[in-house]
Amino acid sequence: MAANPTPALAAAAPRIKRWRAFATLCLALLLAAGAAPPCRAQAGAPASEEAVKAAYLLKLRNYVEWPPAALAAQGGKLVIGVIGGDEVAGRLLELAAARADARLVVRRLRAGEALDGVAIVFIDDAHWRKAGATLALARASPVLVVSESAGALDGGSIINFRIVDERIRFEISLANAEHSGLKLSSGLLALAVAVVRK
Amino acid sequence: MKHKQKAGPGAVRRHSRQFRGGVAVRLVAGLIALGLIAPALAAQTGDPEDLASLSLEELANMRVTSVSKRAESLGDAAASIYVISSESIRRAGVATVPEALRLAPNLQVARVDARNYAVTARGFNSPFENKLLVLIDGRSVYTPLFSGVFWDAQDVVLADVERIEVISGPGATLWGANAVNGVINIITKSAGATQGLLAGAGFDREMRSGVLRYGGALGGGGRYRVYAKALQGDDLPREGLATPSLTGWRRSQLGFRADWGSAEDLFTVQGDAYAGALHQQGTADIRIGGANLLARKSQRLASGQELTAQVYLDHTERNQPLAFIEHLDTLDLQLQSAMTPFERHRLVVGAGYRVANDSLQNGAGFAFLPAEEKLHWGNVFVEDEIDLNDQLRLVAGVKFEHNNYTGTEFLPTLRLAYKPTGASLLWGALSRTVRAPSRIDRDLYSPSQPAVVAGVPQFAIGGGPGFQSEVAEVAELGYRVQALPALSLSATAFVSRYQRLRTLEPSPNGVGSVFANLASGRNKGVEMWGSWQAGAALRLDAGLVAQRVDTALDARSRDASGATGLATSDPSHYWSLRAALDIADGHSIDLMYRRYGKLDRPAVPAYGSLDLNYIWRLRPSLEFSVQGSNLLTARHVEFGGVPGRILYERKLGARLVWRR
Repeated sequence: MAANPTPALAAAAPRIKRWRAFATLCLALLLAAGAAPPCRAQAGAPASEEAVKAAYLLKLRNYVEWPPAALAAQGGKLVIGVIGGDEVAGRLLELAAARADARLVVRRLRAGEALDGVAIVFIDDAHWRKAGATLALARASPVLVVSESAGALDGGSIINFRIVDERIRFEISLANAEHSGLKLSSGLLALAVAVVRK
Repeated sequence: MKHKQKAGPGAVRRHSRQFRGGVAVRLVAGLIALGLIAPALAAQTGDPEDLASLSLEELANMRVTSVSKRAESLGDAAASIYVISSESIRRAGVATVPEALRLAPNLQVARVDARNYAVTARGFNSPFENKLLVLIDGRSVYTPLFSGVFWDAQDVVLADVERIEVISGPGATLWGANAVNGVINIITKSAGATQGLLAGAGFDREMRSGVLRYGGALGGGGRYRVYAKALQGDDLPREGLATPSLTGWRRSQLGFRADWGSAEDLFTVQGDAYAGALHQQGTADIRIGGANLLARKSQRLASGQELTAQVYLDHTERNQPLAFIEHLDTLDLQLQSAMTPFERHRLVVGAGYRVANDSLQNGAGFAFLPAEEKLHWGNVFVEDEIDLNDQLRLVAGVKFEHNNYTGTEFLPTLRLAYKPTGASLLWGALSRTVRAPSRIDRDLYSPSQPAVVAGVPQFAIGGGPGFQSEVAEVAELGYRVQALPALSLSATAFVSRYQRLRTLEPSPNGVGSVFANLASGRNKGVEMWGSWQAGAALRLDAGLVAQRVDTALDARSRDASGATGLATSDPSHYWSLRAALDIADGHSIDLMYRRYGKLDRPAVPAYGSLDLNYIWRLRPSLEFSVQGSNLLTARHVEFGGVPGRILYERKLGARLVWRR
């Protein structure tokens, strides 16, 4: 640039002053943050609903027993089908990619699609009202139906997520589980906020 | 340390180097100090991997934030919709809302100067573009002066944005008139998701910003947050001129949000207040200011019906020397009910009313007359979503909107969605929508006090007494698929036919010109984007829009100016490529390359820009990031003619964010 450096400096002086102020502010923040005790990972921002539900879906396989015929049909894989639930499916896909676990398969399903080989199907709230066909298919087969809609247990769901006191809890219908030939462990039942046995 | 200004180039050089060394030393010292306090690099909270390692009991104790459930999962939406996630915004390291909008592949974002942007979808871009509806948490931020957005007056705490939904195409039934080419819906996080302290400061060679936010609990199970932020931007250099453009600015804003309840029964109150000063060529600063207050209640009844009611008040002031002083007060009420009255039908009905008092003190050059005007918009709408069978869904909707200029407008839409598998969706849509007149179309007169000859005021521009709404009829066809677990793609082809576009015609009384609707236009194009999770640590996103915008004057038109928005300046294509890479635990880098085709009137060459953001998570609570903009070339231009258009130069910036 051909401009005279002195006017450039004069023009830059207020900018330089502002840079100094900001650098000092950043430094102050750094030192303050450094001096503060480190936060525990969980004391920070709360998790999203979908992330917790995805984690639950993954954990359920340890608390549910499928009949031998169903295990054979699943072929050693754990197939989690998701109807709607874009966010939950996304989180599950992230988990599957991160774990590089070839036995974990996440499938996006549409209502009424066949459930061959599917171990768990999650139906999100927006699709619950359309899920009649899927529930009919799941009722007669060993598929764990998980939902997040009020009154879903009456509609055929086995595990229904509920938000209690800002936490994701769940209610269980043992009757629907037995009808599908699934056994749920006592550890799972103990954590449920409600268990419907009839 | 005192800095003495001495004359002479030698002394100047010494002075600058000394200073630069001073700042660098201080920053490095601070970082070393941190290193000595042994930062623990922990993974992100809420990371799926983190949560999956928790026990069932711990999961059951994990506090979550209540988000209101969306009626329709976005994967099923029969519309061209892109969602900018909060994670994308964080990783991109953007500092202002328009810069965050660059992350949407279906938006055309052209920076006009230090504070002004021309943002649109599907063509017809200009700083006064008027075919896009922009909302922040349900509050419309467009100005009835010209049906557009003063981007220099809109701000949110970007770290507290939950998502930005960008719908390209007519959003008429749910969103109303002015959602002609698209809707941008900026949604902030609920107060429950923004608890604790957040403090951030950032700077680059042209802008400095600081934000402070605190969130806590309220009685009755509620949560709140309050924030304050301040930004300052410099005047930027101009092409072909020695002096910088006087479009620097400073703005400060504070606000709050409070939420009570759960997804079944939510009540929200939020508000903001801002003030700012904007540089303007040849005059004192433009002063802006405003405040708004919004309350929203949504409830899910036992029958499954969802009711939502929202009311907001908005006060805006803009004092533009030699132009006008505007005071605008708006009151807006909306009611909406979503229900399933019969099997296979999901019905959404709603009604809304907005009234605004626009009060102007006009300058000499031009005037909005009458200076004080009451504007109102009322609407009712119905939308039915019908499941024809397991795979086919039909959406039929209509909105009737009444405004004080043109009376009742009819906005219908028909959409069909075919879902062959859970992972794919084919959809088509036909819609009619309008851009209702704004004050610039009807009430603009120039000069303010014309000479009067034989009882006839000699206006050069005499308003637009007969100006009607512009009309758009749009046909769209789209396909969305999750091709592989790690690959998702979306494509939309569209044809939009515009009629009654604004022109400047000779006035019927023989003196000067008036605004009329004697032009038509068409935009044909395709929007595509895709996302590929290439590995555990790498995600690639790509987007492309190719379009052809044509306009033509009606046979009766004698429009000669081309200054009314008819002369479009849209690129025939624009694309972007983004890579989000996790380098190591606590280190991530985001790169974005965007390329815009050339513009015609005025001519702007095609340009490409590579931006990067490198984030170093020093501790779970402390993030330090370095931003680089326009890294490949020394400078580029985006909008405007020579001489005088702004040069955007290569620049580096840094930001520090502390969360507690």
